[in-house]
Amino acid sequence: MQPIVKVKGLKKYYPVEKSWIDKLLSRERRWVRAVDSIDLEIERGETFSLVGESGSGKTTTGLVLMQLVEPTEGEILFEGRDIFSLREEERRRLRRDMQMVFQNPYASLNPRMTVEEIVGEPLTIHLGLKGEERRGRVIELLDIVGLNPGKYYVDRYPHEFSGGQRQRIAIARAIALRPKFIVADEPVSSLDVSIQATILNLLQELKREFKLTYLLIAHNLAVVRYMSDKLAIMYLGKIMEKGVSEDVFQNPQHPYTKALISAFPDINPDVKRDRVLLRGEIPSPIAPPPGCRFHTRCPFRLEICERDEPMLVEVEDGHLVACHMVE
Amino acid sequence: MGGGEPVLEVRDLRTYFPTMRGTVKAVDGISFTVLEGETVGLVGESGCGKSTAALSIMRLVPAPGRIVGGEVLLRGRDLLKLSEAEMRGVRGARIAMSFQDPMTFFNPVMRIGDQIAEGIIRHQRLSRREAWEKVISTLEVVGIPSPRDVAMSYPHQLSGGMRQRAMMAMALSCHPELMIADEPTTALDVIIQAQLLELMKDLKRELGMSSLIISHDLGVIAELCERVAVMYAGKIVEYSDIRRILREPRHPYTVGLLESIPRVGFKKERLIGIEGSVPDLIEPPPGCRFSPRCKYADEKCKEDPQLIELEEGHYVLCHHPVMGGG
Repeated sequence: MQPIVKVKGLKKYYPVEKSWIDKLLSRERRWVRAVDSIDLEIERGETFSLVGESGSGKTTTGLVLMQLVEPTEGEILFEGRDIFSLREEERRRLRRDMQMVFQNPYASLNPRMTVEEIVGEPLTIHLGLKGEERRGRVIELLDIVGLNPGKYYVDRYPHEFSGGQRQRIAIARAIALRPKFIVADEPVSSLDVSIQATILNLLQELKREFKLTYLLIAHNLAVVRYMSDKLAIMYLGKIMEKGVSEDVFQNPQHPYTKALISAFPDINPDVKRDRVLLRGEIPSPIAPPPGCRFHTRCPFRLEICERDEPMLVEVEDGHLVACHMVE
Repeated sequence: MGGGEPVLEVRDLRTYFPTMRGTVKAVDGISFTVLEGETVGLVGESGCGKSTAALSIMRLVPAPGRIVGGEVLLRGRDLLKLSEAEMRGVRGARIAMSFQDPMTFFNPVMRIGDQIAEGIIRHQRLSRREAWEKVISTLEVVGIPSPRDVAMSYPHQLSGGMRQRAMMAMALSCHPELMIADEPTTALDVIIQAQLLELMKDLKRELGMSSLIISHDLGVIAELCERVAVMYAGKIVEYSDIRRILREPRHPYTVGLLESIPRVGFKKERLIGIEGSVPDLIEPPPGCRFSPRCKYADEKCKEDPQLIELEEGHYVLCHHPVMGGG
């Protein structure tokens, strides 16, 4: 079966502003390599997660997929069509199928719009709905996301809602056009844990009911394990490991993946574990280390790691790792 | 560890904030102790009053908030009865506190070293040169690789993890009897968080310090603490040693909280979560404050529950404690 989303050789570089010294010495422009050549395939109906620390490029990947940022290089195929070679009109049509839920529901909802306007806006723009018809649709959507009765909430403003309720409004807006694919960028990380669980469950229910495909962007591995079918671990703009979620969790191969999993504080008092502690911090994406980008922090680094960049190799069915140790 | 003398005893502490709409009872009668060498956690979700409780112990509650009742005993002496001048001799010297966001904690236009030295000069009456030597050695203790460079830096020049370490160095610099850490790792990435957690465990082993950790993250609390108090809407609803709380939670809120957390070590099981949201603290629901969200609530829950000791050292504020670990 054809994957719903296919990403090939995606790169996104952002230019670094030249300082006056750089100009004086006519130094070359430098680039932040936010995403540096990644490939992804997302199958219809699955939840695919992008995992990594801040600065790993996971959010940039999501933004490029949503056509909110132009890629520097590479292709993105949605249902087999390259989205960046489409005509403007077709691209607009495509937005109905691809929607996004953002991290911070305090920033992603316009404080001067009512819930009816927020959730109804895409209905007006794409389907031309107005008046009672639109209002009825919005109320229905609010009921679906658990803000029921919807008519009780429809005329309110965002400030009248708690964080969890706001995220429900953002989700109602995202599903308003019956999309096929949703990018959820840290959808619960700004919420309290008891609320997180209810939002994660809502996302799961909607996925079943509307046959959605998700790209989940998250740093919380417990959330990722709970939600995903497949995942990719990113570090400094590259994919270090990807595969079926349970394969990666049960049999992590890359030292970085092992470090991430062991770093996570767990509430099980009986688990004794040896942490793979990493030294130092994530290097700058302006001048990523040569060879394997992870070598500066890797506890197992070999000489080759400083020189040659490892390729992604398959270690078991569909489980790929970019590390010289596993070749 | 534990079994020592109490370093800190908080008794029936109440901190209220008058507002236009009425009084917000942010902390409403909480009691707990921290024993010598012990690490105690205060855990709860946003708005439960855990940070206000910490600020109350330091007597740093922002106006118009006010401590309206209770006692905060540091080795038996009530801090709430001290003069402001006496209290200044306690803060930083006998009780030190670290905050969630070091960027707003540090002065942006002062070198890190000077900021840490300030407290040392004041509390230990050392010269500037001696104080700087201490600054460097303390920065080394918290695992900063080039302490001299960091001491000469301004806060914006450091990464989040480094700033958090520098803040911890500042807290440790005067050898406090009690350290309060408010959300010590919340703003950090998991890898850096793990480094900090290991550092805090090492420091605890080496210095034998007593500490109070405030966090929303039960995982962090589980790693660092021996005992934990779970807060909800201004009250402590459950209080016990950490293993017992994780294995056999008795308060329906604690049970709900634990069922809400996906675990990295387990495959998916359905998360349950807690429906509804935190109550208004101006007009809290009558009786048990968790009752509107509680599946076991009945008529009896409209009366105030009393803190009961279910087994030795395990306290629950509930009319219907959950049996069998939920």
